[in-house]
Amino acid sequence: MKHILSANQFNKDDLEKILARAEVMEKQCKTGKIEKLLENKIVACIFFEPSTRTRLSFETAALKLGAQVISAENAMGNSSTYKGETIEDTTRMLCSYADIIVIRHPKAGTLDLAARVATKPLINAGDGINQHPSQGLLDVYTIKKEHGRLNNLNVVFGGDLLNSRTMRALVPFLRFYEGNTFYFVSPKELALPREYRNELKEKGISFKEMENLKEVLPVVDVLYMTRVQKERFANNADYEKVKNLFILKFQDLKNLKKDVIIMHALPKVNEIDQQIDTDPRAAYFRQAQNGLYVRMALLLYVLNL
Amino acid sequence: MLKNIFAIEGIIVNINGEKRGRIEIDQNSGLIEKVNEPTGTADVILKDELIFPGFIDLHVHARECVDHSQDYKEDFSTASNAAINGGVVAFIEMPNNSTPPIDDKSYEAKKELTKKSKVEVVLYAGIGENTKPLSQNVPYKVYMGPSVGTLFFHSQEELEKVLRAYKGCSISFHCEDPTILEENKNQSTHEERRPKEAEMLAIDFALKMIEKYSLKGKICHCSVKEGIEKIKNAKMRKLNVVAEVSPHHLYFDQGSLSNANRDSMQMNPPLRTSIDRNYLIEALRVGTIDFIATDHAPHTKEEKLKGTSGTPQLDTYGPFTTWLIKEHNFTLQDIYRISAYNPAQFLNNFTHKPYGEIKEGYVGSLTVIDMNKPVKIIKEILKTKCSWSTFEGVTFPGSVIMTIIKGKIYGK
Repeated sequence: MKHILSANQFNKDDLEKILARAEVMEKQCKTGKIEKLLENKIVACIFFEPSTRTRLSFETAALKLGAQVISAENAMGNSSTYKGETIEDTTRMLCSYADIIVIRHPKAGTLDLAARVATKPLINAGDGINQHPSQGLLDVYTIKKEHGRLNNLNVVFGGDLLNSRTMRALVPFLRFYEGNTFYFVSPKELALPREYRNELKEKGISFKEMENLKEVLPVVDVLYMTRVQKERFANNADYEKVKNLFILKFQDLKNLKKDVIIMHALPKVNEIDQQIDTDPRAAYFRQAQNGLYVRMALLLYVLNL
Repeated sequence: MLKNIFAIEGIIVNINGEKRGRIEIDQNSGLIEKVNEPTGTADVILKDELIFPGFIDLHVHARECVDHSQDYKEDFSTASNAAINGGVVAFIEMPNNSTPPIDDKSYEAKKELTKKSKVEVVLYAGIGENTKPLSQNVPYKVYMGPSVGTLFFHSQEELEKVLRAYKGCSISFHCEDPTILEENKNQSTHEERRPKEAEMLAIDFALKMIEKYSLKGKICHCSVKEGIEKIKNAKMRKLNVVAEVSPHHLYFDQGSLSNANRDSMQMNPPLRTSIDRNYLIEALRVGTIDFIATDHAPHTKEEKLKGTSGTPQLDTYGPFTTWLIKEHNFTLQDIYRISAYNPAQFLNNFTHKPYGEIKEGYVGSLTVIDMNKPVKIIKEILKTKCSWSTFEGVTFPGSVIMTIIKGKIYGK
């Protein structure tokens, strides 16, 4: 039995095993012949923070593999947590019902507390701004599928990097491969947190920080967009100054390479022009679909199946 | 060699927005030499008029054929006059002739005829029973079910058998399923005889073929909301497919039909509901549909009374775009995209020099629009030989005041 708590827990070997398994899952889904390896198992999906997409894709993954699902989608308001139960006690209870427990929690680090007492595998489906390993894995899977490689890529993260757990979950995987360069492009209010910047430096990761998306467009292979939220700024004027620098416009497509992929964890609001949605380079809907195959692979991985 | 430079200054519409500028075109090569700041002296100096990269129509029937049996209603010369009148600088022409271009020899023979045209013409080759790809790179057109002409198939199986040979080719699909058309052929109205289910099923099949045989696919004249949804999903799956819509389907719907105009309005696919029409407009705005393509089909008034499908639309192309701007708040960049840039991405695969941008090295063919000069469509201003339009009586909010073909002005 294994927990999945952070993108940092995996080595290259683990990653490649999961990617290969996800590929098998994709094939099985497409041919409609899925091995029901989780028959008679119960998967609990407990979300202390709203997330329709992640929860539904874990639940679908479980059902596809023949498992049954119990779920709480508003666990903060409707469960014993509301009455003051600790996460440790909640976890103990869940472990007595289910075979795999998928948890999302708004507070960073909560999953580590839960893991200390868990007797069944836990999967972190996002804990605050900290980690979101299944997102990171489905993103690598998407890059591999779209580009056919995971090395020699210029990867741009654009938007709010201060609060982006998707970025934190993807970088650790891409550093296993040679020749990748990261560009972190954000308004300075939302730049990488200092400790994370230091961590990247210590690990010897090649990266650049910039404040204007337009400059990097011609070199990028993977453009990962996140939303710059108005609420994150001290005042409206600061927001107005930078907002257009982090919106991808239809005319920007011209400056992008022909084989770039545009990624986004979704939901997106206005950070990508709607006209880009049907461009072949817009990978975000395919990316979301890949989430299903990767999460199927993860449910099997935690049970050593 | 001495260069003959034609210079024009005015507001240039490009992908990034509008800006006053000066364009110099070499009339010998027909190419844009330079685009820079205005100087105040030029062959043509415009005020508020808008200079677009020349509009391109990817779907035209010029009707002229090697046997010249239909020259009475249109030929390449008159079709090019209608194109220039509508601000169209290049078009791709359809193969459903009485002697259809389906192999190297018949294609070359038809190509000779296009020399009469003042605008650039590329020809589609037809796909029919037992045809094979040509030796040169050309766009293909396939009619799934009976429309006008003899190039069509009776079933999906029959079509797939032929399509196998066209792996990787650029194929445009007329999507109406022959079986559903056959089942409904005795219905009382044109709309009922060609129900939307025929289009939806045919689009499914076309998308399947595009995927299976790695085609560069194009779906012609979309008319139904549910069909466009299918195309949208396919694009998001990264299928190589683009889509057209005609002004006819954007401007009219079943509510526009009366006993008096029913015959002249007849087109395949037929007009649908206002819900479909509004959806088409939005799909064009957001890019699910890639371009306006007219399906210009110049039949005579007498033929229309006898039930021939298709309407002439080249003369009204440019004025129609101003309706999208005024009535539906399309931006100038939207028009740039759907009338010039996107169709050029298709056309440029088959021309020697590129269209679609106002930039050095691109073809010096331009469309000049005056948004402050409305035009009422009347028979007398049309250049198509068949000399009528479904838009007669309509006043468009702006007009084409000048079409420039490779550095030469065809003004008004």
